[in-house]
Amino acid sequence: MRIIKHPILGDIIEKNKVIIYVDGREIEALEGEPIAAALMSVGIRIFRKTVKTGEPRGLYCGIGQCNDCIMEVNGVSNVRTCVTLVESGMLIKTQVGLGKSGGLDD
Amino acid sequence: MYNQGDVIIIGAGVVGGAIAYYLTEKGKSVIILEQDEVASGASGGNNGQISIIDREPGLELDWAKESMKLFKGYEEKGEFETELEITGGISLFYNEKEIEIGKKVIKKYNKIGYNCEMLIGNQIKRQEPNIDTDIVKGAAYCKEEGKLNPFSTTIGFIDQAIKKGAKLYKKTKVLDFKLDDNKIKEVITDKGSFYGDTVVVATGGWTRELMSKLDLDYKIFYGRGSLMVTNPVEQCVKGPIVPGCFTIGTLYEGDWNLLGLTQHKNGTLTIGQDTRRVNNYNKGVSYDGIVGLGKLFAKHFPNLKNIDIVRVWSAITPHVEDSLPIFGYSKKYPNMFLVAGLKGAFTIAPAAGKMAADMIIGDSYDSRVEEYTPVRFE
Ligand SMILES: Cc1cc2nc3c(=O)[nH]c(=O)nc-3n(C[C@H](O)[C@H](O)[C@H](O)COP(=O)(O)OP(=O)(O)OC[C@H]3O[C@@H](n4cnc5c(N)ncnc54)[C@H](O)[C@@H]3O)c2cc1C
Ligand code: FES
Repeated sequence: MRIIKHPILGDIIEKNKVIIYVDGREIEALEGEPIAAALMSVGIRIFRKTVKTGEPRGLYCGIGQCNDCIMEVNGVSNVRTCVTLVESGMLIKTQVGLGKSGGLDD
Repeated sequence: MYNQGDVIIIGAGVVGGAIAYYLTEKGKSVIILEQDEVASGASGGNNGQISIIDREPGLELDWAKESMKLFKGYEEKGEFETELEITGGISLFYNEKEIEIGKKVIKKYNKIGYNCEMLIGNQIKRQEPNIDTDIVKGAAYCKEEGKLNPFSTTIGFIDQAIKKGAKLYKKTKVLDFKLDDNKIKEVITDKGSFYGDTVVVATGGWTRELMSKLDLDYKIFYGRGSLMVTNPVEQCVKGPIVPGCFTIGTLYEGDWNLLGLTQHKNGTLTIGQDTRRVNNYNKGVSYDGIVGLGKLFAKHFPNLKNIDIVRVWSAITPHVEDSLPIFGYSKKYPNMFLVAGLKGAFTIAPAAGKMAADMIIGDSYDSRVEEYTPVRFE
């Protein structure tokens, strides 16, 4: 679901439709919108599982402060999806536990 | 009475906490006065490193050894978690000259039984596989070094003291003292007065200013150290990493920006350290200092450079003119006991706190501590 007409923010801006992949699933997104918005629009609410108990987490503050919405994006862990914008062909994965520390294997 | 105890401790950092722990264990009634929150000073803003080879052999190192046993005891008794882990640690050297001096330092510690060696080039990767050995030429490795959680440690001491009857007054700032002859009779705060037979001053970087109220001028300077913390990630840094100049010389003059870091049990890395000589208690961080640290980290750990920094802060920390701690009773005010300027206090706080408590209670103590007497500045 998307809000096309918002009483304060106004009408949604025309954007290119692109495909991104979330845990292998193909999803239509708007280029330049936050990844989190694209996921919410198709009903994905769980972005990651916590370190100790594996509980689900998703969008929380929506403004890049809380780190609750982090996912693996194009192989990089701990990416805040609420402030990272969609690009065509992005490979996005639910993050389980601690993030990888970076390209350790390369 | 709420405002009366055997001992008044000023400052709820790791030092005040450890002293409170051992005094209450021996049955003393203790009041702790803290201007802000527990661990709001240096004890809540540091790297959590257990460091050995930046300490002179003697009492300080003996305190370190004893403290590791005491730390284990707290966990075994189920009192509190410190997350202490002895991982081995390294200090970094960037050229031949530093490495040569480092080797001499290592010999000194080998002689007294510590497991240290100089790692050269690729050998450094045995300890830290992610470090760039084009930049770091040598590393002094010490097997006995490690890390802990400074928050749970400091809070643990204070909580245990409270369980044994200590009273903690937060947001209570000591402003002045009232005397009876030359004894401190009354500790005046912004929340009223407190009374105790003994007054312990454990105020870290604030000590010189507070003591000026008593017309004492201990030569304690202070600086502002900034650190930053990353998102939690899988283990990528094994042990504490410190600048080599900590080990081969004293680095207390001027401002500096050198790499020292720790990865903690929860996966976060604290990365330091930008240090500025300041003359106020402002805890702001300097922009170029923090940017400098980020670059320094990325240079040393190129394949970790994408880890996000989520927060930066600074902490006020003291240093004494002659580089020795200040530890013991004042002569001018014989019921005042001071502890300030312990270097890297987390490595030695348990044993040092225990000794302070012994001295306050009137038990026997190791006379080597007399070298640290505050009387040298009175
Ligand atoms: C950036 C940085 C990195 C560090 N890294 C390490 C490390 O890796 N390992 C290590 O062992 N050490 C490290 N240290 C040093 C360590 O933090 C200190 O040695 C230790 O915290 C000192 O403890 P303290 O209790 O003496 O001082 P503090 O923790 O500063 O406590 C003093 C307390 O007194 C209170 N106070 C002051 N004046 C008053 C007043 N008038 N009335 C009431 N309360 C008052 C303050 O609010 C404060 O809470 C580091 C320090 C810094 C700054
Ligand atoms: S939801 Fe808080 S950082 Fe993204």
